[in-house]
Amino acid sequence: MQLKPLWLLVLAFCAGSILGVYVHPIVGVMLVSALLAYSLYSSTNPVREAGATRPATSLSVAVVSSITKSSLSQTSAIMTEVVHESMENLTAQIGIQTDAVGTLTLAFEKIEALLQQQQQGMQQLLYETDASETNESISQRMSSFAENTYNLLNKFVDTTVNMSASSVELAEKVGAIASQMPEVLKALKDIDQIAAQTNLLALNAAIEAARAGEAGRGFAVVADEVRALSNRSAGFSLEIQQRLKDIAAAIDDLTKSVDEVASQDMTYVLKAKAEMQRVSDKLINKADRNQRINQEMEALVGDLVEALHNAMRAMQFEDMSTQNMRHIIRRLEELVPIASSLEDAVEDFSCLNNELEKYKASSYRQKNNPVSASSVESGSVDFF
Amino acid sequence: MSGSTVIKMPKRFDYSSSATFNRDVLSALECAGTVTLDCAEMEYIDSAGIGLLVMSQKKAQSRESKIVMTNLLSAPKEILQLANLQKIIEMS
Repeated sequence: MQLKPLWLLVLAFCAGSILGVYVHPIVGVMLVSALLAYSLYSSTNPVREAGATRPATSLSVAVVSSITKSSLSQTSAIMTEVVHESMENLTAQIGIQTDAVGTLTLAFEKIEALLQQQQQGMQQLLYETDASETNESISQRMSSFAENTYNLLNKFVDTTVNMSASSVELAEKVGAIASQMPEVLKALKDIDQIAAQTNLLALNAAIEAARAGEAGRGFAVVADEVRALSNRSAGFSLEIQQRLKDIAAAIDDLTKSVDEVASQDMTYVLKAKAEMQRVSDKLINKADRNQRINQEMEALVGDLVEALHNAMRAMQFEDMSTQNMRHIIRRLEELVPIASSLEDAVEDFSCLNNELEKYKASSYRQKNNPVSASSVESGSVDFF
Repeated sequence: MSGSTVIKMPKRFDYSSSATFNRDVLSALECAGTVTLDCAEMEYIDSAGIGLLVMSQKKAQSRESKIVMTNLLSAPKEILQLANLQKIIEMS
């Protein structure tokens, strides 16, 4: 391998001398320099150029040199352009990504806040979380309300039934009193009869006393008194009978009143009770269902918030992506001097060599990519 | 204390039936252990009727007898149940 540049140097020297002497000094110098350049170039890329260079004549070396120069400068221009374009695109990409992630983060945060607000609304709707109140749900309050009302109504029905029973009993007792009335009246009739008989007896006694004449005078006075007494007793009996008739009328009135008190139409109350029971059952059912739905929704909101947190966590990787792109830009920047020195390589290989050396010296950075994760899952960015 | 007497209940069982009902119940309780009230024709009952039933139950209890209601129609049965009468009087 080291023989070839030596051979080329000898050839360059000989051909340059011959051409310089026999054709033109400048042509000789050009050929020498071209061959020198080629020998240098092939020493950097010995394997690739080995086969092609060996059979080249001095003329074809010159042609190759000019072609190489133009393609190198073109390559340099294209590389520079592509590298610059890529860098610009990457910078723009970083901007777009940062903007998008910022907007997304804000949107997610807003969604989270809205979700919490919604959940609070639901809580208030179903639990009425006043600071003073316990955590008793509307369903429980509804149940206790319905139970209280139901108990009250039951008590009312019981009271009504008991009152009716007592009234009926009272009426029965009053009836028992009233049933004694005919016997009392019969007794009074007996008294009347006795009074009438006494009256008759007194009358007979008076007649007998008159017939006795003077001797019966005292007896006549007694007979008169007995008659007067029988009249008075007859009068009393009449009065008592009158009073008893009044009492009978009063008992009749009382019985009617008791009848009215006892005979309350229960249908209305009982219908109300049945309706109350139905409605409160329905309300309790509904409240229970509401609570169940709310619990399900709470779980859903929890899942949603978790999903949001995952999304937000994933967006933390934007930083990683940006760093990755910045690293690519830096790597591309390193290519720029190499690309531009390619253009001068035909004239001066030392320039390209210098750049290559510089690049090699800084190539430790190649392994120094700040981002090592390949996916969101394997990354370990803490959510905060 | 054995045997059973059946009393036929009127169409409307209210205070107007009290005299007949009380008499029938009293005479039935004289001799029978169980008094069966046949309610097949009873369509209406008011609080006085319920009161009469409660009273007759009390009377039966004091004589260690019992009262049973049979053939109840749905409307009066509902009323009796809502008045919690099933707790003190057997219904079949």
